[in-house]
Amino acid sequence: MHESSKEANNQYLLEIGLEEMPAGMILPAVEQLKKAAEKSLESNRLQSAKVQPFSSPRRLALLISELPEKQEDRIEELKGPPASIARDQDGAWSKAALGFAKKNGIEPDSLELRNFDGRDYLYTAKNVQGASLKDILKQEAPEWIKGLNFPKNMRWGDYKMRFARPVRWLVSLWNEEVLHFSLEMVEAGKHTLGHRFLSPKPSELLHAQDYHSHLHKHFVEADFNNRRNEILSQIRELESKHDCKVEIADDLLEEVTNLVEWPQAMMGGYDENFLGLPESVLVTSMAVHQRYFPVYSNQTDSGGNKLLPQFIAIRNGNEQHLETVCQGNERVLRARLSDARFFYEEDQKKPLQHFQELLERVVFFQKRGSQHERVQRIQTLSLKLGEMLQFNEEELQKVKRIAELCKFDLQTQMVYEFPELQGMMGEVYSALKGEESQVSRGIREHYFPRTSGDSLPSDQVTLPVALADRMDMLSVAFSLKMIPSGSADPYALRRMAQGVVQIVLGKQLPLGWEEFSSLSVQILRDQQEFTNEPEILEKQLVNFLNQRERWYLQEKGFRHDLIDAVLKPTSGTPLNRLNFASTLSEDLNLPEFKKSVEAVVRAINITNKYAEESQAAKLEEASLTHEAELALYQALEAMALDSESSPQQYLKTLYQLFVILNAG
Amino acid sequence: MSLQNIIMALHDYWNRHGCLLMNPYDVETGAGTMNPMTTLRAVGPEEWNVAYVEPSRRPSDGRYGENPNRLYQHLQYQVILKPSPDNVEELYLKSLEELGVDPLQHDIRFVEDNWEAPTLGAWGLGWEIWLDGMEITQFTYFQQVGGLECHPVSAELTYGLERLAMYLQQVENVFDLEYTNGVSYGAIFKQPEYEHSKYTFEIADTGKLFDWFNEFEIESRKALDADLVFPAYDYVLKCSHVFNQLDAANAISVSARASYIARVRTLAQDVARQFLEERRKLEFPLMKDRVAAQTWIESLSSGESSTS
Repeated sequence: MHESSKEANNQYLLEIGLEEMPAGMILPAVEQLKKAAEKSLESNRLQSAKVQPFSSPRRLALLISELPEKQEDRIEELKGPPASIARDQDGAWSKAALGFAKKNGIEPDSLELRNFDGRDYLYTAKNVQGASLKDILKQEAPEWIKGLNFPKNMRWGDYKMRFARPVRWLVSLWNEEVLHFSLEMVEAGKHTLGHRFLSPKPSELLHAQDYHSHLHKHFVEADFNNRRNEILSQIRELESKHDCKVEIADDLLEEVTNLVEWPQAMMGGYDENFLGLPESVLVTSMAVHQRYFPVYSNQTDSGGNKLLPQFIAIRNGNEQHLETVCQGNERVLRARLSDARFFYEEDQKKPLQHFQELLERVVFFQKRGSQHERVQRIQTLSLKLGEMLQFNEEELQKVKRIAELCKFDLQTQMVYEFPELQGMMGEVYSALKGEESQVSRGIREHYFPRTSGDSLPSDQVTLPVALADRMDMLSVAFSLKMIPSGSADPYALRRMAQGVVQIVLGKQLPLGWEEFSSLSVQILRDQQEFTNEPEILEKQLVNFLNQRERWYLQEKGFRHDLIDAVLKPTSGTPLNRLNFASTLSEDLNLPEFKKSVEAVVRAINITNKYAEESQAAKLEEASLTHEAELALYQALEAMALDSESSPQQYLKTLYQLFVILNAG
Repeated sequence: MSLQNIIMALHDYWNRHGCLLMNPYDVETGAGTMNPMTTLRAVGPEEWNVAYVEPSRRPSDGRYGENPNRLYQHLQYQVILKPSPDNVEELYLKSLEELGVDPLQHDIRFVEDNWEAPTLGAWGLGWEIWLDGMEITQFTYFQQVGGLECHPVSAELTYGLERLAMYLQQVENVFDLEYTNGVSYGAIFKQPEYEHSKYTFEIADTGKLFDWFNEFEIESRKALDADLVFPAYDYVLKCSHVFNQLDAANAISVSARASYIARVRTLAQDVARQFLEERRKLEFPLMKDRVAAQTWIESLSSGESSTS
C-alpha cells in the first residue's frame, strides 16, 4: 500500500497506425478511445491518471501519464452469513461459517462479528495486493481498440478484424519498455511512422513521453489543435501578405486539418473572367469539391466583401516545390470552373418553363407520381396554409409563385452536376429571368432550415412553401410505409419533420400538427390513388411531429418532466405548449409552486374517490346556503379556464386555488 | 510521357510485382471492375493478382468529342490484388514514381471515397487519390461483390489513364494528349467519340434496345441454368451496356430505372454464386494453401453460405 503510492510518474503510450482514416471519423474515434481508456482506468481505481489524445489521418494515439507502478493494495471488507446461523447447537462453527472462511482463505477463528443494519453478521477483512499497471495495460489496451465503433467498418487482406481503415502498426510503450500485445495482423512495438513522404522509414521511439516531439521531428503534428492553429496562422500570414480576407468555415477548417499531418498553406489563383459565375458556384467548387478556402477583398462595399480570383489550399507537406503543387491545383480548379461556366451558359438559354416541364418526366417516388405532380401538391398546400395564416391577396400570389418554381432548378445542368447548389441556382436563374426578389429568395430559402442550427426562411411568404414541401414529403413517405425506425432514416424524414417544428415554433405560427397532417394527406389523396386508411396515416404523422416537438423542447433545455407534462394534452397548438413550458419552467423551482401543485393534486385525488357522485351531482348556486360555501363557489366561478386561457392565467389560478384550499 | 508509355510502364511495374497481365475484355464494359477478371475473380477464396487496361464505355458521358474532359469511352488501368497485401498503399505509390511522379515534388492525398456498383451488388471502402488536387485513381477494398461477402478482400486500383496523362503532359484538353510519338489522342478517338455520341443520342432504336435487354436477360438465364457462368456473365454485361445506352437516351423513367438495375443485379448475383460453386467443384485450383482450400470446400459443400 505504501510502496505503490510513491510518485505516480509513469507514462504509457498507445498508438494505432492506420491507412488514411476518413477525415470525419478521426476526432470521434480518438474521443471514444480516450473514454474507453478513462473508463477502464477508473474501474481499476486509477482515476488520477491523465489521458491525452493525439490524432492525424494515419494515427490515433493516447499518452497516459501520472500512472503508478501498481494499483494500491487495499483492504477488502467482506460480509458473511448472519451471526444467527454462524454456529450449530453445540456452539461449533456451522457449515455456512466454515464455507465463508474457506472461500476467503482464513481460519474460522479469525472471523469477527459486525453489525450491519441492526443485525450481526460474520465479517472479515482481506488484504488485496494491487496489480501491476503493466499487466493491466497489456490486457486492457487491445480491448480499447477492439471496442471502437465507426459509422462504416471494413475488412482487408485475409483478416477477420473490422476497423475504419486497415491497421498497419501499433506502439505500446510503458516509459521505455514495450508492453507486448498483438492484434490479428500486427504486434505492438516501439516503432512508429512519420510523414509518409518527408520521413518514410519507421523510427524507434525511445520513451513514451517523447511521442509528440519525436513525431514533430518526423514531420507529423499529432495534436489536432496545434495542427489547426498552425493552418490558421499560415492563412493569417497569407492574408496580411496579400492584403485580403479569407473566409474560414469551421467545418472546412476541421476537415482540412484532418486531411494533413504536416500542413503547408499556399495561395493560388484563377482567371478573373470566372468571377462572372454566381458566387455560390465558385465557392462550392472551391470549398466543397477541392477543400480550398475562398479569398475575399479587404474592402467592404454594399454587398459585403468581394470575392477575389484566388484561393488558399493546404498541402500535406512542406514548402519544397510548392509552386508545382499550386499550379496543379490551379489546373484542377480551372477545369471545374470551365465546366461550370458551360452549364451556366447552357441553362440560361432556356426559359424557366422548360425546366418545369422536364419535372413531369421525373418520378418522385414510385407509385406517387412525378416531381411535377409533387410541385402541384406543394402549391395547393402552400396556398391553404397561407390562407390559414391570413395572408393578403398579394402575399398569396407570391406564395403561389414560389411554390410553382421551388423545384425547377433540379432539372438544370448546373444542379445535376453540383447537387449541393439546389435552391441557390433556382434563386440565381429566376432572378435573371426577372422574378421578384422575394420569389427568387423564397426558392432558395424554402429549403431552410437544413440543420438544427440553421436559419429559418427570412420572408413570411416563404414559410407556407417550406412547410408544404416537408409535409408533402412526409405524407408520401408515410403512405409508402417508409417510417423511420431506430437509426434507419434514409430519406432524412426526421430532419424534415424537425424543420416543420423549427419553423412553426421559431416563427410562432398558430398552426397545429393535426391541420398539417389532415391537409397534406387530403391533397395527396385527391391526386394519387392509394389504399392507406387516411385516419391512420394522419395519426402516424401527428405522432411523428409530436416526437420531433419533444426533440425541439429538449434542445431548448426544458426539464424532461416538464416536457412530459406539456405534451400530455393532445389538444392545443404546439406554440401553446411551448408557451406553457416557458412559463412553467420559471416557477418550477419555487417552493410555492410545489406546495400549490401538491395541494391541488390532493384535492383531485379526494374528489376522484367520489368520481361517480361528482359526475351525477350538479352544483347549483341557489342551493348553497352557508356563506362560506357561497364565497367558495363564486371564487371558483371567477377562475374558470378554457383552452383560450394563457399559461399565465393557469399559473395564477393555481396559486389562487392553493390559497383557497389552504384556507379550507 | 506518352499515354502508350504510361501503359507500358504500368505493365512493367505490375508484371514485376507478380500480376497476371490480361487484356481488355471483348464485351462492352462500363468500367474495369466489370471485366470478369475482376468481378468474378474477386469472389471466393482464391488468390488473384491481375493488371489490365480496360476501355470503359459510359454512354451518358458522350459529348460528341466536344468536351475537353468527358468521353463516351475512356481508358482505365485496372489492378486487382487479392488478398490485399499489407503494403498495398506503398506498392501503389511506387507505381506513381515509375511514371516520374516524385512524391516530394507533389501533394499526394488519400481522400475518403466509397464505391458502390448497384448493378453488380458490389460495394467497397477506400479513397480517391489526389495528385495536386486532381483525382487520378480510385482505390477500393472490396467488401461485397455479386452480393457475396469478400473473403479474402481484394484491393482494386483503378487509374484514370487520361486524367493521369493530362497531368503528366500538362495538357488541358484530352484530345491534345500525345498517345504516342506524333499521334494525338484526338487523332484516334475524336471520330469514334462523335459517332458513338450521335448514335446513342440520336440514332439508336430504343425499341430494339429494350427487346435486346429482355433477350440478353433470357439468354443469360439459359446459360446459367446449364451452370455456364462465363457465358452467363457475358450476357449480364450485354444487359448492362444496353441499359446504359437506354439510360443515356433518356428512354427509362426514374421508377423503371430502379427495376432495370435490380434485374441486372439479380443476374449478376446468381452468376457470382454459381461461379463460387463451379470453383468449388474444381477445388479452388488457384489456392496455394491446400489445407485452407479443403476447409473452404467442406464449408461450402456442407451448405454453409460464405456470406455469413
